[in-house]
Amino acid sequence: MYRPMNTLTIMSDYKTETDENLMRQIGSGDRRAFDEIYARYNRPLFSFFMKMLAKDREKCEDFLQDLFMVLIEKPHYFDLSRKFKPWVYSIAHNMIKNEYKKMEVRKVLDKNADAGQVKVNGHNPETRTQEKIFSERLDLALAQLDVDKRTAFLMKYRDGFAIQEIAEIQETKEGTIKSRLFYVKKYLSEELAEFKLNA
Amino acid sequence: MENFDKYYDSFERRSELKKNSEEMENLISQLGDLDQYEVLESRINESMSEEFAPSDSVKAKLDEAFEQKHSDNFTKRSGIISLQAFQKSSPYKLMATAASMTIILFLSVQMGFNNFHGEEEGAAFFADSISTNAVVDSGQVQIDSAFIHWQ
Repeated sequence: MYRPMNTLTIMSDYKTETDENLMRQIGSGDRRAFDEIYARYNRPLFSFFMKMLAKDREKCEDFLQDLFMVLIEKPHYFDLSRKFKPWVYSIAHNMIKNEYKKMEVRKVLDKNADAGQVKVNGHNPETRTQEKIFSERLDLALAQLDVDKRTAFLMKYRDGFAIQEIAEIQETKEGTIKSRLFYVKKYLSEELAEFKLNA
Repeated sequence: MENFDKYYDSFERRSELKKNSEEMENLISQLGDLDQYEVLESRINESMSEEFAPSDSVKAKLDEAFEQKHSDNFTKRSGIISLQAFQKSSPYKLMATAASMTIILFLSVQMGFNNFHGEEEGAAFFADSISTNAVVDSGQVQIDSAFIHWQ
């Protein structure tokens, strides 16, 4: 049933409401609806930013805050006939693209990268577990990719988006997304070849 | 990235491909040993699934912004001017508002008094003898029904 955005409706159970209905309620000033949307998406979106922004926690928290401020200040930007999740990720994707244009992330990673000897957050390489080492090498490898390939890969294999949804977010064709995803598979297969031998 | 979209499709249905088929050979040429690649991909997916949580301060700031946003909307819709907004207005606006209200109040009271033309009605209205019947010319004050006649 269509309900205009400025109509406040009392919801009995926010946890079972769809994202789209919650957004409608947010537009009407329903605080609990906002709390529920935040509870659902704060970790996935924050993790997305962390993966894309070299785990710079402070920057990622700023990004997360800015993103949710869009929901507060401009809920009417969301087309109620669309799905919420791809829409909110398209905002995140565009924020990342703009940040990458500033090239700051790449400069930091290029500065810190040393073949096989990555020091992250002050940890001594020798004391890190194999999983940590693998994770850091993966992050470094992904950081060398352009933002579209990288975000497509994260959205598909981390956030569970369908090809069609990623194509919508990145405003391109499905065939292009498939090409990007396979490119990343091939690239990682080569970059992380040593870990294949150890698997 | 020529044909990479086709390789993607081949990879997705690799379990259906015959071992020595051209499609399978193409996949292996791109990714290497597929069994080894699948184990690698499993590790990649596991690593990427790591989740991070923002600090509570983010939510606190958003809560404050939400309250501010919808508090502003309520006062605007109701025509209420918040004290803070009023205080922020320029002195001239403040003075103009005060002056307007004073004039309106004055005129209201003046008009109200002017309705009581003739000192008799005025006197009857303000008389301390409201507790007793008083006849003023053709007017009369009645206690029980508490209304005033005048002509």
